[in-house]
Amino acid sequence: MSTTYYLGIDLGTSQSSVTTSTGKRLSLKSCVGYPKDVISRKRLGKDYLLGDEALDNRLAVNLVWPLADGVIRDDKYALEATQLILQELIALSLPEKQEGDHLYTAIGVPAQASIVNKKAIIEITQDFIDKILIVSEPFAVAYSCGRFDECLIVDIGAGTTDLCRMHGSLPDEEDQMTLNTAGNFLDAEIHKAILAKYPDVQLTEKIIKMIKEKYGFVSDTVDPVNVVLHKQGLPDTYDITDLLKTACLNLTEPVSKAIQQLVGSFDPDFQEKLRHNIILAGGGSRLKGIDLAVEKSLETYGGGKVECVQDSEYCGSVGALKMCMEMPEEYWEHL
Amino acid sequence: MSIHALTLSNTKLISTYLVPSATLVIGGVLVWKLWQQRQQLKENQQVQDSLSERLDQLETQKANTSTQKKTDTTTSSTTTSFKTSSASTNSSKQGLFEQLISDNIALREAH
Repeated sequence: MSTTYYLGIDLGTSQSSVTTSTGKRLSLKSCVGYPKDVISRKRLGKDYLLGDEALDNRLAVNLVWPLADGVIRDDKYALEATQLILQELIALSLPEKQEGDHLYTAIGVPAQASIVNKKAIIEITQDFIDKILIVSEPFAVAYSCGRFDECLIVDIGAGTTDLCRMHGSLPDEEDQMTLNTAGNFLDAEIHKAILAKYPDVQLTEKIIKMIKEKYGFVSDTVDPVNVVLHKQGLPDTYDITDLLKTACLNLTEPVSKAIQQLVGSFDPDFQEKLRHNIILAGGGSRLKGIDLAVEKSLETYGGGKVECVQDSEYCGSVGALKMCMEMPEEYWEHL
Repeated sequence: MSIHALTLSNTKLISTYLVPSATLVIGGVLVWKLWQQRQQLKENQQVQDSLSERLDQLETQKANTSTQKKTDTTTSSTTTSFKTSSASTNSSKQGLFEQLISDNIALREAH
């Protein structure tokens, strides 16, 4: 007798996560590494490496981030790499799946992903997913929180920041907005700011990400941020408090502006309610004080209330899974 | 003992014991009354708080009901019709699902 499994997937630029109806959840870096040459192919013993394994061997592989900028990139490796990432997520999260079992999946994509991109995802998954539902990522977050009435979801990911107005029905195109100002942009800002102050220190993507995730802040009060960096191989402690705050504010300012834009173009009768129900999700919501910074930016508009989701890493995939499981069987038959 | 001496000792007894005791008793009664009034005020305040909280809840419920009504009206005009037998799927979610499936069908048909 065959079993039907349900999966919610958040296909992210930097990291993809999955939550299953069997109660498992895991995430994987959205990258694939192809061996650089015959020697590395022989040493690695594989045609490709995925996620952290690819990053750990990044000197021996050509790294492909197929979802850079929030959409599947337009090159020959990107489609194949996206397919490999999805297959790996399914294999890791559902090892018990047998041939003949059914797989119903909802995949969250950036709010303004193109039709071409959404169709591409459907096409590359048709061999290993039985039924697939493409949903807007911020809508999946709203579903996860059970917030369908007037609220504004702001999902700050790595490649894009997706904003979505909820008003009790499926959001239209004018309810959604996608910004390229997101986590990767912040990485570049931090990198630039550190090098401007300390020109000779050695920085890598990994170091920058660690600084951002551990110390990133926009609040008015914080302990001094002193990090150990290397200069010509010699470790030393550097104070990056002010420059880090300035860099982080470069991310929150455009996000605040976009929030004001979406609030300002909404039905005036509901604008106040929208301003008082702003939900921040995604990795960017983990910046210390970001909720207060956005609230402060709304003061001139009459104030607002901002809250961050509890589980920023899995919120999207949990919402997608919830949607899959609550969708009546007869609806799936239409797909 | 003369009558004068008796009157004097009675007066002395009243002024020494009875007057301070009576003052104490009256004072105690006044304090107790005040405390009672304060308690009453506190209780009234609590009742008022719980009533205003309940009013807020009712207003939220009213807002939610009107939002749901709005959703139902919007989704009833969706072109694709679906039937659901699931009792657990409430009407607002059903509306969302219908729209979601319609969008996904349109996506597959798009060229």
